[in-house]
Amino acid sequence: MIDSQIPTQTALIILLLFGAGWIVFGWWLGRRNKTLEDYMLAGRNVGLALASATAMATWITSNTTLVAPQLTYQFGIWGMIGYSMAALGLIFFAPMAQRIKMLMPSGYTCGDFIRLRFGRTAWHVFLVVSFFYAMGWLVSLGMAGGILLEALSGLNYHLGMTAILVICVSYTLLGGLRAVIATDYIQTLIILFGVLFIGYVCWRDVGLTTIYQNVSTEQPQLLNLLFPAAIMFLFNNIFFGIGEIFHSNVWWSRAFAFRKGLGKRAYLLAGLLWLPIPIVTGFIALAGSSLNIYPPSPDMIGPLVAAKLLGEIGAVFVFIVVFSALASSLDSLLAATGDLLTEDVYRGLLRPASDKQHLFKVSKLVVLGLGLTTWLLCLPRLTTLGELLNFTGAFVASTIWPIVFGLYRRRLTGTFAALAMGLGTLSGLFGYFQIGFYVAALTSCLISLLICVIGLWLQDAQFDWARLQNAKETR
Amino acid sequence: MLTDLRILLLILIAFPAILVAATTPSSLTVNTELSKEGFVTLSWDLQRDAQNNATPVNLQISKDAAFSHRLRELQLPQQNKVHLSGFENGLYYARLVGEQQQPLSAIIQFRVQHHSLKNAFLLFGIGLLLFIILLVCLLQFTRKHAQRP
Repeated sequence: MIDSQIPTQTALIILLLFGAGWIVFGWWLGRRNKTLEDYMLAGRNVGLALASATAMATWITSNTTLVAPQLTYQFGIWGMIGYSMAALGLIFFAPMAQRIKMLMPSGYTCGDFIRLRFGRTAWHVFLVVSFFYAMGWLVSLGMAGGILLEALSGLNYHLGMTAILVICVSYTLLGGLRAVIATDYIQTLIILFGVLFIGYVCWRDVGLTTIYQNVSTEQPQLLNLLFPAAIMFLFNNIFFGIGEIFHSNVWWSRAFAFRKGLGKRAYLLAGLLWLPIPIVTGFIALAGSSLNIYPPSPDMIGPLVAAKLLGEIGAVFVFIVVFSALASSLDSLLAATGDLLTEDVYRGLLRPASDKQHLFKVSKLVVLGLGLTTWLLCLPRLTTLGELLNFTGAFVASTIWPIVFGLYRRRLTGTFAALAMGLGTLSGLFGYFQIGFYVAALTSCLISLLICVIGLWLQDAQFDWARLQNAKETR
Repeated sequence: MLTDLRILLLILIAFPAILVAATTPSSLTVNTELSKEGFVTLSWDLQRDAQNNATPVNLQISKDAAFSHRLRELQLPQQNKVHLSGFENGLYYARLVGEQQQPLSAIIQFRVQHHSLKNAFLLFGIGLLLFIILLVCLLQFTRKHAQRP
């Protein structure tokens, strides 16, 4: 559909080398995994450098490399700033990570917390919300792999999507969270250097004045600070990002895995380092019209501009950077969702008597099953990445208040937590379909808060924090 | 003679339509006739010549149906779809033309009518309020529990 930047054969060779490298590395790291705790939580002993890198790399994903340019291309300046505000999710989670580790030193998943703190009804609602989000994110990452390859090399979407899933499932399966965190560290370095380099080349070769002149002529609304849909989008994206982080087992499993006392510093550092990344990736999208790039789909604008700026060699470089970003998130999500399904669904609902050795085997099968399900859902390429991600915003934003109040206040009861998540999600979906994808999270968050406030006012659960201490014994 | 003239006249009148029909790659379509966000996706079928090369097309966007003042003229040689953004309020016309500016599609139209600023600021205000509440809650809770775990 569009001029390819990398010959198809070159793209395939990179894909094979790159994939083989990560898989072998994952296998090498996985040799030390002897127990379920090693596999799922990397022995609960991750240091500051690896902790910050994995938090940052996981948050740099299709969101930042493909969707941030997409939303800048669609919503202009506010889209770019709004996206960078997703860093607030990491920053706000920093003190919570410390509290989570303190309250639940032997916890495995966020589901453990919801079940012990709010009871089984709220836990079931939470699992539905969490699973919808995880699948939405997994599918968006698989789709992003396909879109990336298609944009840069002309390779078939299905081939690219299949390749990234096979690579990430393989090394996550072989190495567990230890492999995920170690690969994230290397991927962070590649991403940081790559994104800054592309931003610099864009500024040097196209220039701010040219970009400004072209955008103001061809896409004037993008520079308008009173762009209504973009104004609506701003806080929606902030609450979407916060909801994603507060509820997801990706971040909770890291809080459990980091060495005691490190969670707060690691998340704070990761958030501050992440903040400028969407500004850079979003900025290059504005150069599209200056370079005569008009993408068939808005989520292709980032890689297309970067590849055009850097030429064929550069396109290879872009390919590696974006692929790293996708892989760093996909592996984390596979591992964390696998944990949630193994611990909360398999052990919690189906086989409570399972021993740890059995769960160790099950967790690997779950990762494999998740990869397969994601592949099937990615096949039809139903929507754009931005719309798919924001659809899940209705789900995740409903969990913000139950988690905040649940972690710090004894009063909130399970009934009101379940209602807040359920009705919050439904109202968010209503906003998504009636107004647009840019109001789903905000609506969900608002309704959820109102229900929590009513709950805090009407009832007092007088929850005993000590019940969280023995997460594994009180199922 | 009169009949010949009539035939000639008919051909002259019909010629642009015949030309368009003969070279039109397809109907140009837009994903929505009313955009509230200022972005639209336009798509068409890619035509190929005898050597299987894609026929180069230009997409013209204008605010008048005669295309006397074109806002955008995009060269899209390999594409059959384009996503365009940043439109202000108004009625827009689009068509595909070839390299010699001959029309390759019918003219289509779409309207951009952004959400009202009143609604936008209402949602912005709600968002800001929620954000402040969350920030204050987290600061207070963290401080309180740091003193008394």
